Amino acid sequence: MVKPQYFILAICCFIIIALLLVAFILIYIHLKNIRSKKQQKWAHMARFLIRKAIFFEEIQNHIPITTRVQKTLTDVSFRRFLTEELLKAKKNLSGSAADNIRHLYLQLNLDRYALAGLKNRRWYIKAQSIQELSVIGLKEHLVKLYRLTNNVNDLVRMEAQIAVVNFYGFEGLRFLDVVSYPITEWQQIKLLQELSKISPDNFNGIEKWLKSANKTVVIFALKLVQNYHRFELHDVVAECLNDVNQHVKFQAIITLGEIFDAGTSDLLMGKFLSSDLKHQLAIIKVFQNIATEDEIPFLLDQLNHANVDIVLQTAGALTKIGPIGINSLTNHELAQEYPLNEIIAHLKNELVA
Amino acid sequence: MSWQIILFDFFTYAILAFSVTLISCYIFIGIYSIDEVRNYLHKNSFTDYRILAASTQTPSISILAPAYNEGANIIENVRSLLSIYYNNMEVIIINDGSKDDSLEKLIAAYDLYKVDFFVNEQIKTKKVRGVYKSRNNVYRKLLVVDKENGGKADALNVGVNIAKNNYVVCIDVDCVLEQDALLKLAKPFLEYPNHRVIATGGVIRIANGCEIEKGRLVKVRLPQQFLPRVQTLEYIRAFLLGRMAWSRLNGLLLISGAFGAFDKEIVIKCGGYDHKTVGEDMELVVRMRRYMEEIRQPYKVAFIPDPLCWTEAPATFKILGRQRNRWTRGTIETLRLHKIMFFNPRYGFLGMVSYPYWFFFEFLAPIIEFVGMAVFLISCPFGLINWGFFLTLLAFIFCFGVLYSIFAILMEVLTYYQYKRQKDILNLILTAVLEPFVFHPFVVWCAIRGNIDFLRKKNSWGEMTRQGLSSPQKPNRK
Repeated sequence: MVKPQYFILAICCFIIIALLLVAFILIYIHLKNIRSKKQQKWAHMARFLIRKAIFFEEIQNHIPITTRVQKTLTDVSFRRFLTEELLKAKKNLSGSAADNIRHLYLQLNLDRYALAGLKNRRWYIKAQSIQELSVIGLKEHLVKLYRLTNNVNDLVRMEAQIAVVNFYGFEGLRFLDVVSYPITEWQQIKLLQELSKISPDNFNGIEKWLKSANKTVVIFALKLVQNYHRFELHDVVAECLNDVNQHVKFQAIITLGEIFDAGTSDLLMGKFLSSDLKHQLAIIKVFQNIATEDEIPFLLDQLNHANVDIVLQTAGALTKIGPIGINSLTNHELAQEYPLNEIIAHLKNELVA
Repeated sequence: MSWQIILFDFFTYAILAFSVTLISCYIFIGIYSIDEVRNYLHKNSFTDYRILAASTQTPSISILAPAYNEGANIIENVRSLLSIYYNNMEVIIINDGSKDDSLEKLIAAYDLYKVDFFVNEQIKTKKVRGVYKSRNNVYRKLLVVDKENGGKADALNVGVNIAKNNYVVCIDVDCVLEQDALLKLAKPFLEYPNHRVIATGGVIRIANGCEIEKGRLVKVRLPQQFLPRVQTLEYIRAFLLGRMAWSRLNGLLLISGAFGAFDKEIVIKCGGYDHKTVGEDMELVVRMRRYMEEIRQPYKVAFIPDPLCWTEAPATFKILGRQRNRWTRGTIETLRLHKIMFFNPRYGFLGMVSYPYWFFFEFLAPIIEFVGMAVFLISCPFGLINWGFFLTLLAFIFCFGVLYSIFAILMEVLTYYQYKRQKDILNLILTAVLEPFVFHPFVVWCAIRGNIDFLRKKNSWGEMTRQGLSSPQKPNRK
C-alpha cells in the first residue's frame, strides 16, 4: 500500500509551488508595470537625444549629453533600450543624420557591449550583437563577423551573413565559398532583400557557387542568376538540370525561364520525358513565358498527357503564344471532350478578364 | 482478503499508476515546452516580417474558408480575410449549399459574376454549382465557389481542388485573424532545408469578450462568462504547453481546423479531408504524417506559439457539450482509421509515442476517470472506501491540476501577456481552482457521451450556434 504521507508531502509541495508561482506572477506584473512607466520616461530621453544627434552639425565634436542620460546609462535595461532606439533610427535614416546616430552610438561606447556580446555563450546575445554592429555599420569588425558566417548556430550564422553583405554588398557573398551549413529559403529571401539595396556591378563568383557541394548554395546562386539576369551563365545553369538534387533541378528550370536563349526550349523539351511530374509541370509553366510557334507541336502532344494539371498548364501555354496557339488548341482532336473542352472555356474566360 | 477488496485494490492501483504516468507526461510537456517557446521568441525578435511581406519568393497561399449559413456576418468576415497582410495569396470562399442568402449577399457586396472555371477534381467532392469572381479589381484575390452541401471536409476538398497556390490555409470563416498571421504561419515552410514542412499551425485564442470592429481585433479582454473563461485557460494550457512540446518533439498530431496551413501537394496525395469523420482536421494531419512515414521522406509539422487566430468559444453547456462530444468522436475515428500505427516501429516516433499518447491519455483518460468514479460510487455502500486515502489522492490530483494551470498562466504572462490587467490574471487563477469542480467533470461526461454516440454510429456534426463577435463589447463599469 502506498503510504498517504507521500501524497500529503506531494500535496504540500504542489501548494507551496503554486503559491510561489502566483506570488511570482503578481510581482512580475507589478515590476512590468513599473518598468513600462520607466520606459515611457526613457523613450522621452532617447527621443530627445536622437533628435539632438540628428541635427548636430559639428561632427568632430562630442554630442552634448545630459548628466541624467550619463547616469542612467549605467542601468543595463536603459542601455539596451537606448541601443534599440538608436538602431531603429539608424535603419530609418540615411546621409549625415545616419552618420550622426553612428557617432552618438560610438560616443556612448555602446560598441563595447556589442563586442563583448560577440563572445557571449548565448546564441541570441551573439546574434543581437552582430545585428547591432551591422546596422551601425562598424566595418572594422568584419573579420570577427566573417568568422561567424559558418557558425554552428543558425541564427548567429544568418545574422553574420547578412552583416557581411550589408558591409560589402556582393563582395560579401564570398562566404558562400566556404559555408558548409544549409542556407534556408528564409535566409535566401533575406540575403536577396539585402542585395536589392545595392547596385549589382557585375559581381563574380556565381559560376563557382553553381558548382558548390552545398546544394542550398547552388539554389541560391540560381536565384541570383535569375534575379540579375546573368544570361552568360545559361550553359552552367543548364548543367544543373542534370543535378541529382531535385530542388536544384527545379530551381534550374525556373531560372532558365528567366535567362532563356534560342536553345532553351529544345533543352527543356529534351528533359521533359525523363523528368518527374513536378518538373514537367515547371517546364510547361516556363513555356507559358518562352514558347513560340516552334514549340506548338510539342505542346499539342502534351494535351494528351494523363495528368490534368499538365493539360491545363499546356493549354495555358498555347493561349499565350497568340492566335496561332489558340487556334491549334481549339482545333485539337480532344478539344470537344472533357477535360479539354472545360479548360478551353476556362482559358477563354481568363483571356476576356 | 475478499475478492471485493482484491478487485478494489486492483482498480485503485491501476488508476493510481495511470494517474502518475499522466502527471509525469504533463510535467515533461510543461518543462519541455519552455525551451521551445523561449527559442521561438528569441528567434522571432530577429524576424522582420516586412521582408517576407515584400518578397516575391514567399510561399503562395490559398485561403480556404468554408461557409454554411453564415449570411449574418459573411460580408464582414470576407472583408477581414481580404485585408490580411500577405502578397502572394488568393481567398476562396466555399458556400457549402447554404440555405440562407449568403451567396446572394456576397454577389451583391463584391460585384461577383459567374465564370467558366475548370475544376480539376483531384479529390472527389460534391458537385460544384458555380465559381464567381469579382468585376472589381480591388477584389481580384477573391474567388467564391458555390457547391452542393457536403459538410466542412467536402467544402475544404473543393477548395483544395480549386486552389492554384502551393499551400492551402484552412480557416473557419468566422475567425478573426491577426494582420500578420499568414506571414507568421508561412515562415516555417521556409526554415527547414532538410525536412519538408507539411503543415503549420498557430495558437487559437478565445475571442469572447474581446472588442472586435469590422472583423479586426481591437482590444483583448478576458471573457466575463465562466465557460468561455475556463476555455481561455484550457486553450492557453493546450497551445502554449502541449502543442509547443509536441512540436519540439516533431510529434504533433493536430493542427486546429480553425486555422492551419498545409502543403497542397501532400494533401492531394493523401486524398484530402475525410468527409466521413467529424474530426477531419486531426485525421488529415495524422494521414499526412502517416503518408510521409510510409514514403520515408523527412518531414515536420511545425507549430508557432503566436496567437494568430481568435475564435468564439461555446458559452453554454449545451453547445459546449456538442463540441466536446464531436471532438471525442473525431479522436476515436482518427485513432481507429490509423490503428495500424499503434506501437508500430515502422512509423517511428509517430507510431511509438504520438499515437499511443493520444490513445492512452486523450481517448482513454476520460473513460478511466469515469470508470474510477463509477467504481468509487459502487464501492461506497460496501464500505470499501478508505476515505483518508481517497481524499488524499483526490487532493493530490486536484492540486496538481491547479498547479499545472497556474504554470500555464505564468508562461502566458512571461511570453505574450495578452491579459494585462492584474484582475484578469487573478480571475484566471480563480478559474484554475474552479475548473476541476465544474468544467472538468462536464468535459469528461461529454467524452463519455461521445464514446456512446460513436458506438451508436451517430455521425452528426451538431449545430454550433454562435452569438457572434462582430459588435464591439464594452467593458462593464462598476
